[in-house]
Amino acid sequence: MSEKVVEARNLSKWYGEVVGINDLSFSLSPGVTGLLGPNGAGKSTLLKLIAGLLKPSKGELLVFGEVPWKNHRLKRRIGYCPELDAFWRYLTGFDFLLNIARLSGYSGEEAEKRVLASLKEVDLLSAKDKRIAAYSRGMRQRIKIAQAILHDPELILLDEPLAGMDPIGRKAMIELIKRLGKEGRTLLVSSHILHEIEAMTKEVILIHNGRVIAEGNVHRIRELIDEHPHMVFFTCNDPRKLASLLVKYPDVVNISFSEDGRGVTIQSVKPDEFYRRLPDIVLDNGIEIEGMHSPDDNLEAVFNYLVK
Amino acid sequence: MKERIRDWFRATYAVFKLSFSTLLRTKKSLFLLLLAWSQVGFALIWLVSWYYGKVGSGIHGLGVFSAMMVTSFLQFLVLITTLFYGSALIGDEVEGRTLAYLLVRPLPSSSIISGKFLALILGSSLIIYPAVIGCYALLLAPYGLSGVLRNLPTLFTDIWVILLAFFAYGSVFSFFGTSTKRPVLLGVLFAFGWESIITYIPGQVNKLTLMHYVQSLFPHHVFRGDMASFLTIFREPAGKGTSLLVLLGIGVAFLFFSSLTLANKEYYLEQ
Repeated sequence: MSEKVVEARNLSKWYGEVVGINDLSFSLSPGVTGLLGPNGAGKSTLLKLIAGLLKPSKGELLVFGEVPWKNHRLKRRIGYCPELDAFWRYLTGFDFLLNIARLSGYSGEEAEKRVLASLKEVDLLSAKDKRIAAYSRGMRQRIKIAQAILHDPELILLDEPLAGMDPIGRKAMIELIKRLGKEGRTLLVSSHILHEIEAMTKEVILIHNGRVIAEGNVHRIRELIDEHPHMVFFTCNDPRKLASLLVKYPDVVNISFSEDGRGVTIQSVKPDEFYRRLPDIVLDNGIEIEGMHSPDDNLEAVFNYLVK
Repeated sequence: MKERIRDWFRATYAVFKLSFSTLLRTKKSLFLLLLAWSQVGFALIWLVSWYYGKVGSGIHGLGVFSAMMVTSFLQFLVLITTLFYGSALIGDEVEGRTLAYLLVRPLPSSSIISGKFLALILGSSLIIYPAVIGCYALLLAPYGLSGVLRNLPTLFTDIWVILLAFFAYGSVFSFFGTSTKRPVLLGVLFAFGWESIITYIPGQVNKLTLMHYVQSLFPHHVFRGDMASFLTIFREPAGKGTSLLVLLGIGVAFLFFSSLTLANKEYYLEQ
């Protein structure tokens, strides 16, 4: 049991009568693990349990072989980035981190050195003297990540760290997370967006309604998703013609039209093949596609498939 | 062991520094400062009235200062300052959802409570003491430097009794702030309900209030039959040693309870 950084056995957490985590068992080893699930799945609750902010209602949770609840010494080894957009907003980015460094047990030059290093990691050195109140959402996300890594923890828990970040910041943070994982740290990163997690790791835990519904390599999760009909919605100049052309293929299992007659929803059990043939069909038959989106890109829909 | 003690003090100091700078920036500090300095305003009005001969010859500046200390400072300003600061000790971190930053650090709960409590004591002192000294200086000014110096022991006693009151009330309100969802409401009921109403009940029940022990240590007994007597009821004081022990004991006990609560309670911080 001690080789695992985090080990949960039949872990449950209830908020009164509301279930946060339900009989969850899993383990974490060094590297980056994605914690995927729709909003309200129990991701934040799980991270808070590991960080020692909440007490398990039932089951066992060990972090580095120790119980995290009421264990302040263990927190030297844990970095936690909360989902909440909360700060002492009158502080500058530098002062915020300096206070965090002092609260982590550093003082004097060592504290300042760590602050500057973590500001550099999240590319906020140029904004260090600005008040956090004046930071953009993306900058606030980055300073939260900085406070989580400032004390060089072995286990880093990041709750929706990329929320509100611009594409460049997002890319930089994904690179940082990957690098921290390669350095041998254990990172558990929550998100409700599959491709975000795919960009940083192959190891994922899928959680829904407080339960782990899949765990392991992200490709396996993809396979699970692909076993279910994939839904695509089109708006085009001739939806009926498009539907008649697509219905011939055996992977297309369902077609339905929108009420205004301008849209058609296609369900395919082989989305890769479907997308491969689609351009030729459209071009050969002169169909003008005005819009196309997949409601299945929403993870909620994917989870609904998986839990059925 | 030595290392652990050093770490504890370091952690407490870190919490104190952050909490104190946060405390000073709150709107409640400005409000309390205005309330405290309104007393200095009254003292100034009294001094001007005295200068123009509008004050009766029987009213001595020290008497006015005594009345002000008991009714305005002790029974109101000390209570409201410790109530506001004590209830905010953990409450503000929960409301601002910043508590997680403290709870995920290697800080024992006793360090968090002690650091924040020190900030409360220093913050309250900075609000109240300058106003007390200002009132003293203005109200004793008509009697010259010798009058001011002669009564300095009274002022010093006031200062340390107020400090004891900060300690006892601050720890009780800190406990409310750590353990309940509506600490201000509970604090108001305690401070202006229990601590006030109980003194009007005949018998010995007033010994169940903190105010009884604070007043027992207070040097201002002049108000018995004086101008402020209609505002206060004063019974036989408790012994000085007893009062000191009770106030210190209550203070330490409630700090301990606050620390215990913080260690054992789950705080749900929602966006």
